[in-house]
Amino acid sequence: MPDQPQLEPHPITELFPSYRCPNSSYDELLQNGLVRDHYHSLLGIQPRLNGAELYLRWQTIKRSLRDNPSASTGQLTKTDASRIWELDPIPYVIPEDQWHSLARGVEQRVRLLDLILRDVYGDQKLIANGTLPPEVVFGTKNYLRAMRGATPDERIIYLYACQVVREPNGVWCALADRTQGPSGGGLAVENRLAISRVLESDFRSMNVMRLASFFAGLREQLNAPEYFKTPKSARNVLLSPGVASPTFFEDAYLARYLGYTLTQTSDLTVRGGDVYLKTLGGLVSVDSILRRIPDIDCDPLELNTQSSSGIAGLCQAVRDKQVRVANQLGSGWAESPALTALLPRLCQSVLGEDLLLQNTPMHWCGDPESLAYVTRDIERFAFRDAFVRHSSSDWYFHRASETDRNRFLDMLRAKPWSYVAVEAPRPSYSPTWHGNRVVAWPTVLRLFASATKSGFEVMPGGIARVADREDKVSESLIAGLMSKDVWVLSSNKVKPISLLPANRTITEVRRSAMDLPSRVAEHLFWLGRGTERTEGMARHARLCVSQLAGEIEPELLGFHWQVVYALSSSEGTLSETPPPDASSHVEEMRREVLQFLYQADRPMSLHGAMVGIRQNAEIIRDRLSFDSWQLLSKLDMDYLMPWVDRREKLGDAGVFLNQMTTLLSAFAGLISENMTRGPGWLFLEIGRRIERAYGLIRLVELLLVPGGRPISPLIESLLEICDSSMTYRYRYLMNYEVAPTLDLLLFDPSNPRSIAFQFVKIVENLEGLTSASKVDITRMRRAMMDARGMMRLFDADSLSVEVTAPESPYPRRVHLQELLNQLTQSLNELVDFLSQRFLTHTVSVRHLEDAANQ
Amino acid sequence: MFEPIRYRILHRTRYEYSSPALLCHNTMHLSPRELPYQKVDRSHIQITPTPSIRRPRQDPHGNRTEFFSIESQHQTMFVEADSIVIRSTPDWSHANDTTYLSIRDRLHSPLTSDDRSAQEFCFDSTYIQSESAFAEYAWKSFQSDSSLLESVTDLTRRIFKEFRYVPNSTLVSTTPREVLRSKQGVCQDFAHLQIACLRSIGLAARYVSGYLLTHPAPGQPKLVGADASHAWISVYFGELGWIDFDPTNNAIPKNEHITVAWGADYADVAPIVGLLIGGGLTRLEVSVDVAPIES
Repeated sequence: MPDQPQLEPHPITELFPSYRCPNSSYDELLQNGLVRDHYHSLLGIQPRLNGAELYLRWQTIKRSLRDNPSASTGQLTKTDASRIWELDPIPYVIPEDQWHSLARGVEQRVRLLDLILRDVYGDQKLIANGTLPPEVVFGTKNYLRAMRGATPDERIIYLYACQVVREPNGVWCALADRTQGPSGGGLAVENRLAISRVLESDFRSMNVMRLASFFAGLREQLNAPEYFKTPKSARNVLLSPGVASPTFFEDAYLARYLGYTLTQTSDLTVRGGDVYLKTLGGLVSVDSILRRIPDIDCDPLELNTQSSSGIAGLCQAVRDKQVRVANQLGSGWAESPALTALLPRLCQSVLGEDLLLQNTPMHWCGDPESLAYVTRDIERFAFRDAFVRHSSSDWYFHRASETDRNRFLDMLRAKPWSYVAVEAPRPSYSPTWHGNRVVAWPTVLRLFASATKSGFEVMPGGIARVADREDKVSESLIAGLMSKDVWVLSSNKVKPISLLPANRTITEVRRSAMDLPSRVAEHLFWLGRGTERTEGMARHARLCVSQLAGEIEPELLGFHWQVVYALSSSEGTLSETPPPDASSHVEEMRREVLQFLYQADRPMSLHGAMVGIRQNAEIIRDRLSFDSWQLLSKLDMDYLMPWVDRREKLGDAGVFLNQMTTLLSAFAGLISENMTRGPGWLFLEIGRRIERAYGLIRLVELLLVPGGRPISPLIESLLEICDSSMTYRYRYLMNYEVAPTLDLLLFDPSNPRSIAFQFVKIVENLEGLTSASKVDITRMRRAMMDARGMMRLFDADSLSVEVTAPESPYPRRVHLQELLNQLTQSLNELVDFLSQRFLTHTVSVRHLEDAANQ
Repeated sequence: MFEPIRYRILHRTRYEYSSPALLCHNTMHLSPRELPYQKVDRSHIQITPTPSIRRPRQDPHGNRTEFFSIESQHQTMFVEADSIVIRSTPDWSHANDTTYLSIRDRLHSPLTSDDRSAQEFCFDSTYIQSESAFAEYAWKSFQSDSSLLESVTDLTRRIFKEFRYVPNSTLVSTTPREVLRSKQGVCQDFAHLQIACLRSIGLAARYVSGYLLTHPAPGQPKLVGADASHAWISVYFGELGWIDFDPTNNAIPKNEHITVAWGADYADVAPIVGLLIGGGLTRLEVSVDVAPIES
C-alpha cells in the first residue's frame, strides 16, 4: 500500500493497555504481540479519539445517528433498535488478499443456494437422484409447496447475507445463511457514511473499497424489464414488517436510498391478477417487491391459511409474472440449519467444487454417520431444530438433567432428521472502543451479496457485530452490542463514488403526489388530530395547574372544579357540579389533574396522548422532515419530566407543560412554513382543523351551556385555554360575558381559534383535495359550506339566552346546545366521508367459511 | 359389478353475505383429475358473478386447480362444477405379495425415484402431526412380515368399527389427536386419522378428495342434492403404485368413488378457499349430486 505511512511496530501495551485477546482465539489486531500490517494506519486512533477534535466529531456523529433514522424513542423498539444503530468508531479491517478468498466463498455459497432453491421449487432432480434427503424439503413448513413450479428458470435469491466468524486458526467460517429478506444492507451504508466522516483522512489514505456500486447493481436487477410478460412502469416497493420490527428504521433508510416506496402488506392489493399500491390517487401498479417479511406471511390465500394478513392473491400474481418478489417466495427454506449442514456435500454434487467458505461445526442428525459421530461425544453439542433459523432455542446436552437427557435421546432416535448438532462458534477478537479505552471484543461479520445479470456480486464491506461476551454475538443481526463498519483495503487507488444514488435517468418533473399510500395519509390525518388535541390538553392542564398549585381564593374553587371537570369529564372521578364545600376538596382536584397528566394507561391522559403521537409519527418517520421529527421525538414524558418523584407535585408540572405547548406550537409552525402543500399536508391540516373544532365545541358545551350560575371566571378560563384572552381583553376589557365570548370563539372568522375559521380552512383544504384526486368531493364540500352557512342563522345574543326546561331543575343555553350539536354532526359526517373515500381501504379481511366434507 | 360407470356430478356451492363484499380471491379444487382408471369427459365450472380473472393450472401434486377473483361488489357467490367422469375399478390384485417391511424400508432408503417422490407423503402436514399415540393405534394391525394390504385393510376396518360417524361433530380444524380421543367424526377426520397412523409407522399416505355414489334406502327415491363430497386415503405400495382405502365405508374404492384431487391433507385439496374483503356474516350452502348416466 504505497501511500501508507511506514510505522515502526509500537509497544502495543502502552497504546492499548486494556486490549486483551484470549490466547485460544484469533486476534484481529496483533500477531505475536505486533500489530498486523493492515491495522497500522489506525494505530493512532486511541489517542486521537481521546484527543479533543476527533472525540468531539465522534460525539456529534453519534448524536446525529441517534436523532436521524434510528431514533431511540419508540417504546416498542427502544432496546433492539438502539443497539442495532450503536456504532463503534474503529472499523474492522480486511486486507485485499484475504478479502478475495472470503468474497469468493460468499459468492459460491449464494450461487449454490440459488441453484438448490431453483431445483427444489422446480423439477426436484436433487431429490430424485438422492443428493438431497426428502425430509429436508418435505419435513418442514419452510418449504412452500404452493410455489413449486411458479417461476421456472428465474433466480430466487436477489439479496443474500452470510454471517461469518473467524476461527482460532484464522480461517473464516459461515454461521448461517440469510436468504429470506436479509436486513443490514441499509445499516452498512449508514455506518459507512458516519465513519467516513469521522475518519476522513484514514478512509482516503487507506484506499477503502466503496459500497455504492453494490446497490446500483441490485436496483438494476430489480428493475430489469425482461422479467415481465408485458412492459411495466418500474414502480418498486420495499415491503416492511412495520414499526414493531427492530429493523424498521433500516427498512425506511434502505427504501429511501433505493428510491422505493416504503410499504406494509396492507398497502398492497391484488386486482385483476396484478399487484397494486393503494394510494390517495387510486391504485398504482407495482413491478418489484423487495421483501423484508417472511415469505409465509405474504399470501394468506395460499401460504398461511391460518392468517388473514398479507397480500391475498400474491402467489398467483407471481406465477403470472405480473410482479417480481425479491427474494422469491419460498426462499426462506434455504435458511434451514439442516440444509446449511448439508452444503459441503451439495456443493460437490451441484457445482462439482469444494465448499470454499465452510460452516462452523454443525452436523445434521438425519445422516446416519453424522448421528453416530454426534452421539459418541454428545456432551459437546448444542442441538437445534433442523428448520429453525435462530440459535436462541438451542438445547445444550451438558446442561440438562438426567430425565431431560433421556427424553431428548428418545426424540432424537425417533426423528433424528429434525435436529442439527452444533458446536459453539469461537469468534475472533477485534479492537473496539468501549468506556474511552480500546478493548478486544468477540466479533461476527455480516457480509452481503446481490444479484447481477449473470450471477452474484459481494458487497466489499459489511457489518461487524461485537459484544463483550462470545455468547452475545450470533447468527442474528440484532445480537451483539455494537456495529462496526467493515473496511476492505484495496492495493489500488479507489475512485471516490458518491453513496448517494446517481441520477442516471432523467426524472420527470412532478408536482402532485397523489401516489401517497393511503395508509400514510391516514397516519398523517391522525398525527394532525393527535398533536392538536394534545396541545389543547396541555393548555387546559396548564391552566388547572396554575389555578390549583399556589394560593387559592376559596370563592373561586367552585369554578376551578368545573374547569378540572372539563379536563377529564368522561374518564375522571369528579362530579359535574361542584360540591357546596369545594374548599375541602382541593386535594381531590389536584389528584385528578395529576392523574390526567401522568397516568399512562388512561387513553385520555396527557401521557397517553404523547405516546399516541409518537407511535403515529414513528410509522411515517420517513415522511417527516428532520426538524419535525426532532420536535415530536421530544414529546416523551421521560424526556420532559424524567424525575418520577416530582410527578407527585402539581407545581412542578407547570414547566414541562410550557415546554410542551412550545414544542407543539413549533411543530404547527413547521408544518405551515416548511411542508409542501401536497396531499400529505392536506390530511395533516384537515386533521388538525377537525380536532380543533371538536375540542372547542366540547369546551363550550361543558362550560357555557349550563346556565343559572355566575359565569365570568369560567369565561376567563375558557378564553385562556383557547388562547384568545388577549384579543378578548383588547376588545372588551375585563367584562367577561357570554355573547361577546361566543362571537369571538364561534363566529369571528379572523380568530384562528374560532369554529368559523376552522370551517373556512376545512373547505379550502377540501378544494385542494378535489384538484389533486379523482375522488368526487363536491358533495362534502357543499355540506361543509352549508354548516358554515347554518352558523349565520344564529347570533351570539340569542345563543346566550338561558331556558329552563320543565323537566330540568337548571336553566341551560339550549340554542347554543343545538348549534353545537349540528356542528358536531357535520364534523362527524366529514370524518366518515374522509375515511370511507380516502383512508380505510382495508375493510375487514377474512377467510371464506370452509365447505368441509361431511 | 365392477364395470366402468359413467357419472354426471353436479357440485354446487353458494355463499351469501350479510353485507356487500368488495373483493374476493379464491382457489378451488373442483375438477376431477385424469387417471388410468378414471376418464374425465367434461369438467365445466360456472361462477357467478363473473370473475374478473380465472387462472386454471396444475398444482404441484398434478391436481387441476384454479385461481379466480371477483372484484365487483357482490352479496352472493355461486360456484357450480359440472363434471362427466367414467370411472373403472383399478386393478390391485397383486398387492397381496407386498409386505409392510419391504415398503417401509424402501421409504427409509429409497431404491427408485418413485420411492423418493412418495417420501413427500411421509411427513407432517398442515392438519396432521405425528404422535406416538397414532403409532400405538396402528401397531395392532401391523406385524413386520405381514402383508401390507391385509394390515391396512385391518386398520381401515378398525377405524370403521371403533369410530362413530357423526355429521357436524367436528370442524375443519379438528386434529387427528382429538378424533382419536373422541372416537367420532366425519370422513375427513377418519382420513386424517388413518394417514397419521400410517405415517407414524414409516409409510407414505395421502389424502384423496372426491365423491361417492350413494344408494337410497330400499324403497326410497334418491334425493336430489343429498350426496356430499367425500374423502379417503391412498397408501404407497412400491411398484404397484398407490392403493386407495376408505375408512368411512370400510372399503377399497372401486368404481363408485370418483377422485377429484389428492394431497398431503385436506389443506392441499379443499374444494374452495377464499379471502374476502367486507361481506359481514356468511351463509354457506353446498349440494352435490352424483348420478350414473347412460353413455
